[in-house]
Amino acid sequence: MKIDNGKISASQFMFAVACFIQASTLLTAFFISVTKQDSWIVSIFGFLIGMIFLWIYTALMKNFPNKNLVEINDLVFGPVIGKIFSFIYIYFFLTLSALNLKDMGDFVGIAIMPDTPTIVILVSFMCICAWAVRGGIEIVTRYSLFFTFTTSFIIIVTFFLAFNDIDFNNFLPIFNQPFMKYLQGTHIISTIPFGEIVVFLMVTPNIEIPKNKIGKYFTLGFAIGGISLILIILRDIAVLGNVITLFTFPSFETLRMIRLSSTLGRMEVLFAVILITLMFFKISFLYYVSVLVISQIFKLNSHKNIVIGVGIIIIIYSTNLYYSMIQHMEHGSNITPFQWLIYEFLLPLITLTVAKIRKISSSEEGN
Amino acid sequence: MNKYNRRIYLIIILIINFILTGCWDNNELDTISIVTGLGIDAAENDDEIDLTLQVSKIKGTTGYEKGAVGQGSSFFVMEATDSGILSGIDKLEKQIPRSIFLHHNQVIIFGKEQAKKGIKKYMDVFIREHQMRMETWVLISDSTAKDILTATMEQEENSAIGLSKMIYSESRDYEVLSTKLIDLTSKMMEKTTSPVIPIVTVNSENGNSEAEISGLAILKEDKYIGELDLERVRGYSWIMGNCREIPFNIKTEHGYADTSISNIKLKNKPKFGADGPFISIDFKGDVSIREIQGFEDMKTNEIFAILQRSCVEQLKKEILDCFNYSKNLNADIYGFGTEFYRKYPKNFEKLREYWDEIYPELDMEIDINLEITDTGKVLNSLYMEEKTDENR
Repeated sequence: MKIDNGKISASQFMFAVACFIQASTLLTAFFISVTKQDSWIVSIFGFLIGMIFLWIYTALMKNFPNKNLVEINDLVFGPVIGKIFSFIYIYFFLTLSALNLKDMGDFVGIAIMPDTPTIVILVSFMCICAWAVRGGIEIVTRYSLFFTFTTSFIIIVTFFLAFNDIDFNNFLPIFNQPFMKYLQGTHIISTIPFGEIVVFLMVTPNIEIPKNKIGKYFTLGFAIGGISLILIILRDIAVLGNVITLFTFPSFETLRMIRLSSTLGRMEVLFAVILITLMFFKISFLYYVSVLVISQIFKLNSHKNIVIGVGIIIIIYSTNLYYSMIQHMEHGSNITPFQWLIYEFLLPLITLTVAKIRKISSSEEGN
Repeated sequence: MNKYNRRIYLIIILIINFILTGCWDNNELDTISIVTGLGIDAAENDDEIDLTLQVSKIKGTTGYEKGAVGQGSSFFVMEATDSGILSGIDKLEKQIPRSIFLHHNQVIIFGKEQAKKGIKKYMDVFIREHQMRMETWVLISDSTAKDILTATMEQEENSAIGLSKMIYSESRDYEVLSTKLIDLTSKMMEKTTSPVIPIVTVNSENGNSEAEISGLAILKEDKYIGELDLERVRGYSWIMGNCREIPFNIKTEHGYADTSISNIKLKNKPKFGADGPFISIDFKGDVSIREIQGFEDMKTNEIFAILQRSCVEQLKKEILDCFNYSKNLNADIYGFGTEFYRKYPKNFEKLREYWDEIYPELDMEIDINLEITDTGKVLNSLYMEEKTDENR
């Protein structure tokens, strides 16, 4: 039984992955506050660790090319334990969507429209997401290519525009912090932006790629996202220097510094534009995945009926997540990475191991 | 999706467009007062400050406010005394019909009195408040901030905007003569560095005033302790780099030459020598000759040699003069402490606490290489032309 019959092509899948990671690159404060001027090193480490995650997901995808995460769990662990695992993923996906929605709402609420109640922004934003989600996977990923190109273009352009303010001495001293800080930073960055691509396990059946090519496209998309992240962090550190740890939105502040002449300034609007478009993509994807998991577990005929309901849950969830930005940052750098590690690394790894041991594979069943 | 549905969606979107424009945050031009300058002076009470806001008047060239054009000044000044900056602004907001809009604030000016008391505790709001930008210029007034913000200038009536433009053009030649909020914050966070902030002096004559940057104020921690006059600022900027072309005139016993030094390549390396840390400076630059007076009966080569030698001597003198001055004040205006930290993070960790004792003892090694590359459109000068020809 398949709930969504939409199909996405290889390049759409690749850009969806890239876009998904790029969406996290704009909110970097929670690991920059840990590793300061060495954050770029940490993001390279995180990228490498992320490759391990990627390898696990690709192996799962290759093993079960026409099954999504819920079906894999059922197949590997049996209906009861598999359902428990899938329920854990409902929690994970809902939390992720709520967190991202909260990030978006915080940004708009703090930086752009301070007097507007956040709930208004969240509701109007979620209305559009719900519309996309109702359309299914094809609609959700359709604009990924466009979003990725816009973002990459803006990142590259701002890199050059900020060149006047760049001071490479800001990277010094390198490797002068306690080892644990690097470990923590790598942990945060590998779980929060990179590991989140575990959600793509939910759309495996919809991807029209030959089995042996999945890894290639997945890695390419991952690399585009990862390189954008590293570029953004390099730019921000080089421009802001030691002040970077003060800000909640370092990239926003970097773009504010750009001033070519009195006419070509106020570049931060570009940041707002890409943040909102990318967040639209990421949240609608996570939203879609949450809806899909729930309808799959409860064996609904169509995912469309529960779109509005899940949307309301996500909005309410996101308004109750944290009291303040500081608490959010604190959790983001100290608690969440450990939680995420379970969903992004341990569970998929266990699933893969059990599947290999029990020699379960959907492709060999000869469907 | 059928056609009927599509129409309904379209209508909904159009309606949303009307009701959601800017939501609660719409700021129309006739509801805001745009602040162009913000000044902070010491109040009588130690815990309080005198806040001065320079607000520019919005003059419409069309519409119902036609009569206002060309009459009166283009700005007005508001003052309040309060313990905090934002609470002072709130107080002022009640006095005027419009809301105060800080996004376009051009300069932050501290009065000298307040700078002597310390400015750190008032910095927080500029970093925290979302309306403030990190690229805003920071200045210290020679008298009070109010004096500057109330002054009317000839070219730009609005003194804050005028100052901002002045600093912007100044900063192209001498980058040290401009301090952005971000630079100041960054230097304050470095702990060992003493920030410098440009000083503005206003001379009022016949209603119109002239503002000029008269030097750099040196802050230790966050308190004003002294200033560099323009002579020393030049000595300072040689080492800080980032200058394109600096005019430089030399007087020798044979005559006077006006030169400019450009294409400066500077390397300052912190080093640990036998008797403690020292700074080694490697300075390379091109000298172009702009004007020569005197040097009669001399060969070109001789003149060049003399000029080169005296350039180097004078450069060294200027650099050391400024450096010694800062050593007397015990203020690390160059950020050498940070250079050491960046180069030798492990060793410097121990030195950091004692930096105040080390800095006055710090030595400087200067190695200057200058080359005369440009002589303008002549090769020889008027006075020496014939002589040199004879010699050939």
